[in-house]
Amino acid sequence: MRILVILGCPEPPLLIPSFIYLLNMLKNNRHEVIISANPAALKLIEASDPEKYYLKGVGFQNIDEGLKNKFDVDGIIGFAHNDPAINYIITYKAVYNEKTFALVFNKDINQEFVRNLEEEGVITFTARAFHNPMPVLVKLKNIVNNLKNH
Amino acid sequence: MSCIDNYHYDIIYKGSFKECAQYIKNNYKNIRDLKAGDEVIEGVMLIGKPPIPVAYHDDYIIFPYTKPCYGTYVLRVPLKEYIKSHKEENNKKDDKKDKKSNSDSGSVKNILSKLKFW
Repeated sequence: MRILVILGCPEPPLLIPSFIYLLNMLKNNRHEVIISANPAALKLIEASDPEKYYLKGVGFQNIDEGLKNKFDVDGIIGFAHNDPAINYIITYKAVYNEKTFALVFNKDINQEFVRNLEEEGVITFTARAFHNPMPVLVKLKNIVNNLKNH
Repeated sequence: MSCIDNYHYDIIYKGSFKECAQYIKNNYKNIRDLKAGDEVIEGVMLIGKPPIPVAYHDDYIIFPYTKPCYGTYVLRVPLKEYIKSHKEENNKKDDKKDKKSNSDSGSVKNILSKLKFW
């Protein structure tokens, strides 16, 4: 399957390590991965894997370009900790019309974010985490397992 | 450079997407509700939970614009620029029609080729 991963603002410390963990899981499951991300997030990802051990063969683009250059994907996974990320995930779901998963995380979960995503048909998981990635990794495993079922 | 930087815009409000949508609804009469992902002006897509209010007032188009790290703003762009951008878009479409016969077969491939790969 070709999976599109959306990364917004990379401010939360857990975001980039959790993304690398997700990327590793997806590649181990033989999924093709494309990233739509904010430019700073792309730079952080690159800096995290200088030898391209995890990133080799992964496609990437600016988060806005992904809405203009639509291509075939089989599923979308978005990380969301703030209002813009919620809006981008909802918009990607509307543009691509494919099964979309969102992981809403932060020190406290904003239930309005969850409600807005679910109202637009996004399958939403939550994790109370900001620094420690472990709660997020558990939910990412659930999302990857869910991909297999769809 | 972001596509919005090609336009002379004014920021008239900043807030969450919901607050910005409400601001437009409260302050303008001539409003159209558009879908998420619609191209409101050339190169600028609407981001947010639909229906997304877009207002037309005097010679301006007013719409919510979201940046990943900064939140949502209500922007006001002169309608002249909007019309200009659509004219350019139509010209491009005409050009594309001429070229279409050559490029139909590889459309998905072409889109993928816009991606960069590590």
